[in-house]
Amino acid sequence: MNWTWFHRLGSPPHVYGFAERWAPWFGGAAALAIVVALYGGLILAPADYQQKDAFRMVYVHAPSAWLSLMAYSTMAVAAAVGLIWRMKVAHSAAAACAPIGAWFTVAALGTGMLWGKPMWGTYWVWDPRLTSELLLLFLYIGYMGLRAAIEDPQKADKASAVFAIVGVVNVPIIKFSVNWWNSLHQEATVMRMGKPTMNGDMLWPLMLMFLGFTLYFATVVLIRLRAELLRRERSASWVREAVA
Amino acid sequence: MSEFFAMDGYGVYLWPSFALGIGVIVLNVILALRSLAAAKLEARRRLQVQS
Amino acid sequence: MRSGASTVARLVVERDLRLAFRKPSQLLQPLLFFMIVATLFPLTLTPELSRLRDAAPGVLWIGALLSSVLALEFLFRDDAQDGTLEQFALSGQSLTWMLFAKTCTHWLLSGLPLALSAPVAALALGVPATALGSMVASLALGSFALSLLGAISAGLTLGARRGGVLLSLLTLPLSVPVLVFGADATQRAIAGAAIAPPMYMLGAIAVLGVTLAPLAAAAAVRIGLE
Repeated sequence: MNWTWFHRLGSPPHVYGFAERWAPWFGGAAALAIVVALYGGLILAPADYQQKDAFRMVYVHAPSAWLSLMAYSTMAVAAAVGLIWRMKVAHSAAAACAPIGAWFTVAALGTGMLWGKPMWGTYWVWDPRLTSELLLLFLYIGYMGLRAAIEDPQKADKASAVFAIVGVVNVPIIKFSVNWWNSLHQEATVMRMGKPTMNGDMLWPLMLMFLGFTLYFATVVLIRLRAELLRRERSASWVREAVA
Repeated sequence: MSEFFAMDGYGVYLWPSFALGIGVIVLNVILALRSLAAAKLEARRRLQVQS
Repeated sequence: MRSGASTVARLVVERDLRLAFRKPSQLLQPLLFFMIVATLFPLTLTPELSRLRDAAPGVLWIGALLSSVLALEFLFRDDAQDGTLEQFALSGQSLTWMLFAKTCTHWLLSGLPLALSAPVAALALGVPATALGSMVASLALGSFALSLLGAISAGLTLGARRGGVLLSLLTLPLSVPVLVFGADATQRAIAGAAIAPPMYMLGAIAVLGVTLAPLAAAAAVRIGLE
């Protein structure tokens, strides 16, 4: 098994170069996918039988929620890799994921509220998925707060890595307990922010949106990753060339 | 056309919703690029101090 | 190793108990806090016991959680300041095991007393006497899980500025499962229903905590001591 690719992943200049070269391509692909998906979702897709045109909010709400979860898992995996193999690049990647994930948790909550008002009559409902998203936001803020509170960058990397891993183990347990709590109260079971049953015309724009958001996530991570790598390299010679 | 914007009456929720999504998308790109620019500036300064 | 481990644990526990009883006020403060919180709720809600009863599980468990977070301050702080934690880490003994012993002692000094004195607050909130036994059991188990979980955040915030508030911000979201199952158990006890389902969940969380939390706490402490 040729492990060269793995060792290259640990080399900051190599990863920096990769990020610099590929970010625009990922960005272009993301923009294309999102625009096409928007056209498909807003114009081509037929209105839902129950929710009418309101269902179209799924095209922004569901991908946002998906991105918020994907960012957290990526962050936790990167953190674990950083702790186990002591890779600065991995810690940099984890740090890069956090602000993006947090913002998309906000987007998921906001779009969820705007979807909830016409559907349930109030801006906020203690629906299990919205509640879990809110708790995820708190975990993101805790992660970023912990990083900010520790002076030494290496300690900050490692401590926040432990927190990210503890968090990712907890997230399924938290979701399970929130679902448990929600099912205890009869009225609440009706209020589930479910996706409407979708036929093909409604589904492909959603899948394309998920793809677009994923490509977008990669783009922004590749930008932030470069910033994080630069911050962690004190006097390495490759930095000279990179910032000239 | 105005039917499209009304979206069966749900437009008042739908369009702000998409605006929020697009807004967060654009914002994160801007924030990321600013972070990169600041990091490059810091690195240049550090290199100057050393040499 | 086996006899060595139990000796180490015994020494850690004895030391912590001895030091704790030199400063009894440190033990009473979290309890007092819990009582005050339990008093504040009726003042902000209603004096009617029948209505307080509905809110009782929430009041008791949030009070217990906040009190537990406050009590976490004295888990590692003194030992970190006087260099004992560093000695533990360098001793060649298992830091994980020593921290587990510390956490258990901490629970004996904070969580368990809280669970045992909770009936006073519970009765004042309209909880029927029949529910008290189950409530104490759930609080005892839940506070044990909270102590285990809290040890991780306490370890992580050792090297942080203004660690106190950050400690709460880190611990609170992670305690949601304990809160949900604990409050459910108390709610069921009040209603006279079987408390087994949520208690099993609490038990499962406690077991998971016992196996994983001391490891994470030891990792966190080592990072902080570097």
